[in-house]
Amino acid sequence: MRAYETMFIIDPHLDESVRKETIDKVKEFISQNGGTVKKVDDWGIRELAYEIKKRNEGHYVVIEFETENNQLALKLRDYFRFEPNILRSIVVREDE
Amino acid sequence: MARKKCRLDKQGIKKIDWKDVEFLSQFITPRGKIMSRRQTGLCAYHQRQLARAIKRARIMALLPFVKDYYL
Repeated sequence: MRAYETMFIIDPHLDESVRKETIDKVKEFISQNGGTVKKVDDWGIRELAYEIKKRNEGHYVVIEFETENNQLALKLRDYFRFEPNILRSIVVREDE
Repeated sequence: MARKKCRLDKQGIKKIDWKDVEFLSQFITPRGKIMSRRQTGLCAYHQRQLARAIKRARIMALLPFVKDYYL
């Protein structure tokens, strides 16, 4: 079992309900691909250190998860790439 | 003169959290650069962890790649 964490930034101009939905979709994606969500940390909207896609703020979310599936991290990165509501994302191993 | 011991060793910090912006900002210059070993006084292990943490934080726009400042 390996521990991972992912952080992503959602477009803050979207409605709160849409942003919530985006988070739920990510959680669903993780559990559908053999992962267990351990912790969801919603940072809310905070200022970006530099502009991303014409936005100066972003809604930050951190999700910690565990999985046996070593393809999940790669899949998740692909998932983020095709999710237009997400400005930026990162998936990293948490152990060691 | 003996070299100062690594601060983080003394404090017993093993893992540097790349999400802790306040902590990381102690180790960047006003220009936004990563400070050198000489400036930070960290051991090799922690300096490597620190560099990685700052780079991750930069990717996620938690820290700037370059900070504008005026003379």
